Amino acid sequence: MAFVMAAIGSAVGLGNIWRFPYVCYQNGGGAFLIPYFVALFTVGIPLLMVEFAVGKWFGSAAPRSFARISKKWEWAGWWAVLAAFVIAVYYSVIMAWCLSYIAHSSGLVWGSNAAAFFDQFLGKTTSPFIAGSLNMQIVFALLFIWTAIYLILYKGVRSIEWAIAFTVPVPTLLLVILAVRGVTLPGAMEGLSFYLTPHFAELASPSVWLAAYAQIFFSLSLAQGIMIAYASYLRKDSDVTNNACIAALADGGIAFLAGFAVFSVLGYLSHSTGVAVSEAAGSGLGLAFITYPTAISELPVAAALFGAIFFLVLLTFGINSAFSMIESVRAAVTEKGFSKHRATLAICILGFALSVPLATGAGSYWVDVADHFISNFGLVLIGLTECIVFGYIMGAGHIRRAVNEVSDFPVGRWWEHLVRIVAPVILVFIALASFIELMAEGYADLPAAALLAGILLVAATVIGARTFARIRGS
Amino acid sequence: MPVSAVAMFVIGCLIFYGGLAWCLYIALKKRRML
Repeated sequence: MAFVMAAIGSAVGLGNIWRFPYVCYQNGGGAFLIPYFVALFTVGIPLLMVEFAVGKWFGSAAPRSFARISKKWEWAGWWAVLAAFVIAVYYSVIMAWCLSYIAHSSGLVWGSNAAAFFDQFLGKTTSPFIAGSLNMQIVFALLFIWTAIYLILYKGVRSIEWAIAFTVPVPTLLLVILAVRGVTLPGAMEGLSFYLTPHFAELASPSVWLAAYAQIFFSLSLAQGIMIAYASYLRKDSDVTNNACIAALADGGIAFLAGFAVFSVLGYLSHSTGVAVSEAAGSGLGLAFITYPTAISELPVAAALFGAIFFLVLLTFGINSAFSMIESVRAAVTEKGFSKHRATLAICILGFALSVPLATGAGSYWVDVADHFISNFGLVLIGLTECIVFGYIMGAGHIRRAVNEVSDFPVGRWWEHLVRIVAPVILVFIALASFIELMAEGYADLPAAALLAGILLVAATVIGARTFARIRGS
Repeated sequence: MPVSAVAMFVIGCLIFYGGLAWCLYIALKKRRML
């Protein structure tokens, strides 16, 4: 049970709250659920089963699992682990913002212009290459977050189990409270209509299907070595197929619930200010730190409390994902012969040191760049490598037979085709679509040099992975 | 709220929460906890 909770905790992150509802609204409303479920059952759950099976089979973190198939593929495991580390670094910065906003919620200090307050809070500069000043409030919040990650991980599995018992059910319950409060506000139904009314004609557009597959892939914490590291603690007779279904459905279910919390409040914002829901709706940082606080300020009662609850939900779901990423790194490093305590301490100190520069006025630009490039190119290419190594070199049939021997329900030969053909083809399409869009439109009005830095970051994870793979373990 | 939106709400709930409940039931039953 602890394993499934850990997998759910890792999968449910900030994206469930701020990405899914908007992607759903933008890609056909309720009709988006159809490609979403197709993507869940054809790529999400099958790849999750592969990672669970490989981790359990080898009882090792990602690099050693890859190395056991062939030593020359060990670098692919390190690639996944380094991608997880980069994500944890910028994730910690977003969590530091959430922590600060919990304090800001008490006085609703963003006032009537949350956008201006957010820029002022960050000390945001006009370019990613103008650093501006270091925001000490964010630095102290980062110190708190990295200390929390260290304390959760330093005692190993037992302290992780303890943390998960709190960081999965509590934010889920708080999200239910937010959703219930949201749907009882005037105008909420108008917001929910935007979220759920299906536009079936949009299902003819390939971009809607691509969005569904991308959402599933990014949401399930795949290709970061996390699920492999967690599954390495499983007993040899543990179930794989049912656990993968439980984790994936819980992840989707929480994202679906988040849509009610977000769109009901947007409906209320529209009702009280006259701004159309379509104009108010957004995703990512804008939704969390600008639109939602604006809507919260309009609440008739206990606005500060609901503001604090919202950012606490983001913080706890975020910290869950963050410590699972660091666990992926820690498990890999300790297999090279380092002690658990020293490895945890060193990784957390390095993570803190690398996140501090992101507390400057240019930090939000670089968080955005790192997120875009590591997700759309790094994780997708790692996922593709996993499909090739596990599907073809190790053999999907081999994995399927082993999985079927111990699982609650078996999977048929069709599962092998999903892992070997469907998933790789979809991942190639996602990478190509992202690349074409980047070439045609750039990204977020950022200068070409910043985009080049994003590409170099992905390249650095590959070079780093190849370097780590050459280090001899004990 | 339009009927079609209500229908998507019901489908979403059935698959996400119904599916999850079914998987948990199977897990409890197979691992002899029920």
